[in-house]
Amino acid sequence: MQPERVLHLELVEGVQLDEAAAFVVELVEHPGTGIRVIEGQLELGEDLVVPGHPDDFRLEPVDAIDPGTVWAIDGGSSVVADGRSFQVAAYRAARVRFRGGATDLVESPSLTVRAVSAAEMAPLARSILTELCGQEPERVPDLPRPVDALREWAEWSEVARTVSEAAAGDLVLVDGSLHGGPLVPAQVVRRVHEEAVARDVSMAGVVKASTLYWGRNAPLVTLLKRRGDREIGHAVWGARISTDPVFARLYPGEIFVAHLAPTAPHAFRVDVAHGPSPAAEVLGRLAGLARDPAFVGYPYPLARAHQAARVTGYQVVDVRRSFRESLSRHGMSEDDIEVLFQDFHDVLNRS
Amino acid sequence: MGEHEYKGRIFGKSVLEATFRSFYGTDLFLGELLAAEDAERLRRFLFRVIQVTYGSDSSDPGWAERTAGSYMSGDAAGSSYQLHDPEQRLYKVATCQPLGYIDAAGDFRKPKSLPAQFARVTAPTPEDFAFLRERMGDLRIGLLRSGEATIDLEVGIKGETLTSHVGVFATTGMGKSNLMKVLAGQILASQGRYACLLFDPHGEYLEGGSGLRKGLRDHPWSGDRLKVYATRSAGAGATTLRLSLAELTQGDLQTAYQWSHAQEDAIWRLVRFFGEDWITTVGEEQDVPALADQLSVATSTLQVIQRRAQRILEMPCISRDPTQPSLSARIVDELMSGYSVLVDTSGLSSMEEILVASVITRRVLETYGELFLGDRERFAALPPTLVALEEAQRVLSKVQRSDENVFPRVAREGRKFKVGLCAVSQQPKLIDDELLSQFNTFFILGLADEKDRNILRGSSKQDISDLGPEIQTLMPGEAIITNLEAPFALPAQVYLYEEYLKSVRGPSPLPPRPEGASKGLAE
Repeated sequence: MQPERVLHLELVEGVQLDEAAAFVVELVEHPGTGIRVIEGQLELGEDLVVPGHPDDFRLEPVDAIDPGTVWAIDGGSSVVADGRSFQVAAYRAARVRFRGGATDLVESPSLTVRAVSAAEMAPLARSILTELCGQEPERVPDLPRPVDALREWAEWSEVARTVSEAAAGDLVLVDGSLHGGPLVPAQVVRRVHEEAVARDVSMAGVVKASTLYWGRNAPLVTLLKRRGDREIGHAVWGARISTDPVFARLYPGEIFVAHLAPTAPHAFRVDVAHGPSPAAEVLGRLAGLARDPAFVGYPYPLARAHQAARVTGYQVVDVRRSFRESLSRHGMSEDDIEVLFQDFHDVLNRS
Repeated sequence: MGEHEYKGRIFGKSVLEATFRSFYGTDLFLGELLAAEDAERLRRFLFRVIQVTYGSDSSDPGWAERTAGSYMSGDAAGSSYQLHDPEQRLYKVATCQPLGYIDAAGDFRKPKSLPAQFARVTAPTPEDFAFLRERMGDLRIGLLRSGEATIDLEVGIKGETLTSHVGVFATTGMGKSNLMKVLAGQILASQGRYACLLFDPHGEYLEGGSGLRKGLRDHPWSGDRLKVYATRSAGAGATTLRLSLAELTQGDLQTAYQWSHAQEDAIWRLVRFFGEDWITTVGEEQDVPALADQLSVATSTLQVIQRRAQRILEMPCISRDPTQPSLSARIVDELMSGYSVLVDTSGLSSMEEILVASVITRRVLETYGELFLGDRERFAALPPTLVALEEAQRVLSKVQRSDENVFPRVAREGRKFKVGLCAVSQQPKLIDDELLSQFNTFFILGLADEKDRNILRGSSKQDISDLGPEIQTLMPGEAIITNLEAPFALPAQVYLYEEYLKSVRGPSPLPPRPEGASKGLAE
């Protein structure tokens, strides 16, 4: 017996698209009041909200200057096997050094592979964070995706190493904000920042996916970019967001939204740590790094670090194959391996 | 080997086509010759670059386009962007035609196997092509070329292969005349081993043409080995050409002129009525309608024949006097004696030039043929002789295909009689491809027309199907040589004739008179 079939010619019902579009337009045009930072940062337990309006922030011109010696750190990760109750994660943190106008160091280490379950993750997190903090962490964060935590801790470990190796006057760039986010305790950032200040090393973080919002979740970076395009067109500018005194208590530096190249299609949130150089100078160095035509508006060393850290699809396949071989060497039957790796989504998607 | 000669590493693709990655800063040229070391099998592979493309480490296929767009946006905004680390992010991919490999014993072998993957690619050394030396023959016309550079190895053809015909193909300004002068110069320098009959419609072979260019007259061996004839009043060092009217055959006329069937029929009737005097008769006829009536042909037909006959009779090099000996026999004698003969046909129309060339070439072919049949000993002593004709498509096209046309006969039969044809042409596509296939040696210079390249592709003795872009981009003086002796189509840089002359050693002057020689033997 043939089933009753109900067919729809349209992929999406038109009215739903219109409703979604109306919501976005309303959000962007009338977002409300207040700047919100959703990061679960600094153990506040809720978002940071400060008064503010996108039109109130001054778009200050930034002069691109010689970036000098710049280090950049980024991480990459992938889940090699997901047993639901446990994961096998592969990750690494890479760093590059840009000096004299060229990249003279690219460190892309081998992937670290760890099998972790929820039970094992807590002691592992405590061990790693103790090392990162230099003391027992005040609390161990929630770890819904262990692979992300492992990658971010590896990144901050590499940031710490880099700060300790950098020469005075160097700039160390971090992929992401400078408070670490929900997975990296504030102690870790504070410790690294203190060493950076002590060594006359500047630090900045560039956030690709900002969690700065205005009012009812209108994206602040996008709004400022739109404003910059309309008001000053092709220009390099920075807008200091952390004008409210509350930021000074919570952040190791200043938060900016910066448009780092005249024709850059994107602006970014940039955190500049307090340090040996004024924030404007650090922004100028970043602008000097953001003129590569392949990554217009984004600091080039971070793009190289991203490439060095990235775990490609081919690499994931290779690691999975090696892992299966290793499981086999350890006596696991092919059937059990197959069960371990199978994902019912694959079955559904193939059908 | 210096690091600067390191070009990259092979990563693909097949026995018939290799691809290698090269550095961003490495300059690669179409036609460049390269070598790859296969240390595992002790082989050295040779390649020719046939295509060069961009490469980048980006996995995004639209990356390059977008980056170019970013550059342009920056330009429009007055803000210059700069790609960092280009040598780390960009590279070139060269597609190569495998030419063959040199095995452990030093022998050259055709490309039938793959080099080791990721083999190191370097610029070749002259030793890599040492195996070519013995195949390059005694008529050297230039140096082996690798892209825009040269390798210290002379290239050329064997004089013995002149009789299997030579094609020189190029568009205007690509160096045909220079190549012809070098080739003719080498034949002169052979001191009689080979001979050349050269028709010079513009006087440029003899005198060199304009400016500071030199001609065959400047060749150190021209005094000893070159005979010059001119169809107009000859200057110093040239003999005025004189051919007998009686020598002209219907075949010569058919080769030089396009005749309709009615005109051919009328000529046949003229010959029947007036025998050898038909040209004089029709040329001087006052009452053409009456003659037409007499021959039962149309008056208009006969008028065309008369006009052409009158032009022939007016040619200064055509003698009506049967007592005046024709110089064609003398020219043939000189060729047989190892002299090269240049016939300056400047001043003649294209058809008249062909007529003269046809008469003389036919005489050469017939004489050599008679010796082949009747006097093998004398024939054996004949020098291989090359008959060179400009704009050869005029006599070698399909339209001109006729049993009476001597030039296709030379192409088909000349080899047997030691007579080779050198067809110089800008438009090889107009040459009958069946005749073109008789040519064993091609000198291909720059050819812009794809149809010209295609016709050569089909007739070349080496596969040049991948060399279209290279041929298209050849600079003046750059050539590709194909023949049976070369293991692959050879890229060459033809000597500049003026420079070549500096290297030619002429006849040794007589030794100085010994001091006191006039005093006799006794003191």
